[in-house]
Amino acid sequence: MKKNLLILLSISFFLACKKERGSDINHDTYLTSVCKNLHDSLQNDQYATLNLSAIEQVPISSSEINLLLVPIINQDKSTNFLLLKTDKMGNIVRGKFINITAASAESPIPPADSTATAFDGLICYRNLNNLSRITLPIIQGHIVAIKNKNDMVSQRVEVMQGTLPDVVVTTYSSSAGINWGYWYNLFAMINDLSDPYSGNSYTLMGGGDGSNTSSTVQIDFEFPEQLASINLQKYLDCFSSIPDVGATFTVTIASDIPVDGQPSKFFNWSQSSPGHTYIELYKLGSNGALMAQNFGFYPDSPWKTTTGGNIGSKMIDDAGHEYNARYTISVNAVQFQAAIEAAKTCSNYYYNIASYNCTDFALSVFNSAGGNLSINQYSIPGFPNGPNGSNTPQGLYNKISDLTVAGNTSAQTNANKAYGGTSHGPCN
Amino acid sequence: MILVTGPYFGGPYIFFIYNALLDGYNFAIIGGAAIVSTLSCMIVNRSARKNSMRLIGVVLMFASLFVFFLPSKGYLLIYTFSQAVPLTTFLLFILIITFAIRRSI
Repeated sequence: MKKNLLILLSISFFLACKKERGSDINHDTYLTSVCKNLHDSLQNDQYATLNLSAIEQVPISSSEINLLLVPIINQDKSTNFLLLKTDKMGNIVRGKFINITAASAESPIPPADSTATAFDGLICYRNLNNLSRITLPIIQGHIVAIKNKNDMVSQRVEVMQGTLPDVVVTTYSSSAGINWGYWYNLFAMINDLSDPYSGNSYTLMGGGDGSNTSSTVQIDFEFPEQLASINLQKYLDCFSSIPDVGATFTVTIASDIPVDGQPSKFFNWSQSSPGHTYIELYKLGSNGALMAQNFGFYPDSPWKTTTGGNIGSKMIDDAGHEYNARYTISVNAVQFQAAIEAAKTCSNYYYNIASYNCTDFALSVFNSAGGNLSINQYSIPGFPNGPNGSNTPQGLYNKISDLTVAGNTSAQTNANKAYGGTSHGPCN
Repeated sequence: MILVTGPYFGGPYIFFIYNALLDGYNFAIIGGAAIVSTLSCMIVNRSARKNSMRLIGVVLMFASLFVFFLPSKGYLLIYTFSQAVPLTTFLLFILIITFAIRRSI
């Protein structure tokens, strides 16, 4: 018996110590095919600059597509590299030379109690054929597409559907002090900015700990329910940091229906969700500074909601929250201030699933800014609210769908789902 | 008696089972079967069959909860168990179930 146990233990140790080499690419048929295709696509001198012996495969959750990172000889891999998207056979689907420059030359070390900080800088894309080159700013980690100054907010919103920032700088403490690292969403970088968001894995590209090896983590979206309630006043105070003169303002209302693609469903019982509606406020200063805040109205004790009565409420930061439809309006400074005041006032109301829920709150704020949006009210099963029914994410979704069909370009619906932008957070 | 909750909505688990049953959710079908099995044992006279039905009811109820919590990637679990009242109802449920199993065996 002891002998058997010893053998079993030895096998366990052997398996535990076996090095994972799933992310490495050997010189197999696939890699040979990639190199051949690269050689065909690039000029000879350009091909010669590639460090082909150090090609890395970026782990992604797709069996059809491979993502390859090709370092460039004598260049820092975290700032200069070739990114390739290939099929299983090694054919190049898309390839881009990428150059990333931080806005500040200093290492981005935030205070020790911080775990992540925004990245500001520039990203330069260059196609394999060298014919196309584009430089875009990275603001708070998001790659921002700009057509002109007036389009900046809407373009930014389009990019930010993708959700989490494309570049994240993280810090962590160790015995040697504070280390930091750049994490890139390489999948977002290789896709065209107009592509739907299709991945959320982040790859460590370099950092202050001297590490120069890539590692990838799969980051899931943080559910708002895991976050504590916010001090809305401190969130709204941030808008005063940008002067009103010359600024542009937008207010967005977003609907997250409980079952994607089925707006007739009032509940997703397996997720304990009746859906959600939230508000996004954007202020773009004349100097290009952007302030964005996303927030929503929640019950403070959700398990009491089935009582149907008034219960306490709380505000939660809805950054990166899922949505199925949203509607954006441009407003002036007075209207924007009215939205802020309405948010402050209505955040103190009691939550009632039938008579004052997240959709009522969001509509109050949106209409205070001149949204003039009225939606169909439905009777929530089990929670009747008189003959008129209640405001629900489903009603908002249907209204925005109608606006989209009518050709309103400010209204946007998604067949499946997308994710909202980031919030600046509180200001003191 | 169990209270479950997400960020927006929560309440007695039986309320979820009742409503989700109409939409054909798996956890509700299993939970419904658990309730039927448990209630049936009250009208069965033979002790052996009574105990086995009670045991089946318990197993099905756990299976229902498992199926309910599993697809939520843990966030329903986190939210339910981070609040005192829902957590207490769960602990009471486990206590009662333990007694029920002891009686059945």
